Amino acid sequence: MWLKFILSGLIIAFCVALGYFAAEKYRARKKFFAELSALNEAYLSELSYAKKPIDVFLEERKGKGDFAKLLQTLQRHEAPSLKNFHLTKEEEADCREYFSMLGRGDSASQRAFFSSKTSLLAEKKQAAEKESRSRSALYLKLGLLAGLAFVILIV
Amino acid sequence: MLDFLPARLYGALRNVNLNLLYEMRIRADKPLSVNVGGKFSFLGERGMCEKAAALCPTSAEVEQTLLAACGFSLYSVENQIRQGFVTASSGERIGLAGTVVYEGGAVHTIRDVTSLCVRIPHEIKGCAEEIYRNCLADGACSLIVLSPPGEGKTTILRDLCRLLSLRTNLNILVCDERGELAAGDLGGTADVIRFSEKENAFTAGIRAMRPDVIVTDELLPKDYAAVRRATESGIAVIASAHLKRSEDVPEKLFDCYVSLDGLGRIGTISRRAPICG
Repeated sequence: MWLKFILSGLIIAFCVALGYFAAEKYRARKKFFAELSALNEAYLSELSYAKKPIDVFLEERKGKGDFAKLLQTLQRHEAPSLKNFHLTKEEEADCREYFSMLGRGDSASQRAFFSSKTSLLAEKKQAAEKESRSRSALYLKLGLLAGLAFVILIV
Repeated sequence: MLDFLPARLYGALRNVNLNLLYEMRIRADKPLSVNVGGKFSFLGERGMCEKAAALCPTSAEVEQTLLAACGFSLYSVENQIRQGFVTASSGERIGLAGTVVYEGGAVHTIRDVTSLCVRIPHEIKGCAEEIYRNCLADGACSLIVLSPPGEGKTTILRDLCRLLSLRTNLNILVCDERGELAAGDLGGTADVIRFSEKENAFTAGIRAMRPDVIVTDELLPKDYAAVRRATESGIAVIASAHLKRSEDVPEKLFDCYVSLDGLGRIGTISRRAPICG
């Protein structure tokens, strides 16, 4: 009897964990757009004030995780890898254009370009947050239901 | 030093004595030339060579050199670009030639840059010893070093500043408009204002930093008013100018006039009465 309970619990926990990991890409997207949006804001403020070179600016924004690695790639002036962020092809192209424009122009043209990205990034960030919230909840529930179904069928 | 150069051009410098390298001329689709020890020659893949064997930098390499020298941040050096130069991280001054773009009657930027003149700063400790002994040994006084471009004025000013700081402990304000002067040891009592026009640097520096001596590079006629204000306030000014003879200095505000005679060679040292010290 106890063995059945433990096995049922393990199956449900496993399925819920699968649901959690299935929603990971939505969380990665949410985090990416939140960090990109913050980077954009910080860069715009940098352009209006200290105008430090891009390497110094990126160095000061060091952190952990995939986005920090992406910033390190930019510091080395290499093409960034965006595969960990689960972006659509269109988003990836937009982001590549975004990163390629960093530092390429005087402050007026840089301000104009990156200001034009502010609202777009805010929209993307909001949409990614919403999607992450709804998908995370959905996948957890699906995991729970799948776990229960397995328990009924197997145990 | 010179780490902003594309790999192909940097590689060509492997067989060049960098201690004697004063200048590089990078022109799009034209032979690469260098000034080594005061003499220009062409540079090929294996070092100095004849014109026919010289490397010809491409337009893309010229653009890449400029971008890298700016730290890939054009916005952070736009004021320098408007004045026709950028200063790289180790104090290398890069002169630009290209198409000047005007906006509102003022230079907005330089686009399609086709030629770069890279000047490499050198630190030669003791090169200003003779000038120091002749003019400053009895105390700081105003002094100007004169020579055509590329004869070592900045190197001499840097060493004078270091000697003055080391031996007198006076408070020295270095107004480094182009970021070249401070590419080396200026001594422990030197404060540096970088990339500011002399007018602003002198005014703000005198008020805020209370210097005993101001050291600055490449005086233009418009800068003499600021020098006069400083000397009238009792501050000694040590400067340089692109002039050959002391008679050509627009305002006789200095106690000593030093003319260089060729690369780093001190020619004449003349004094205005009363003799300084």
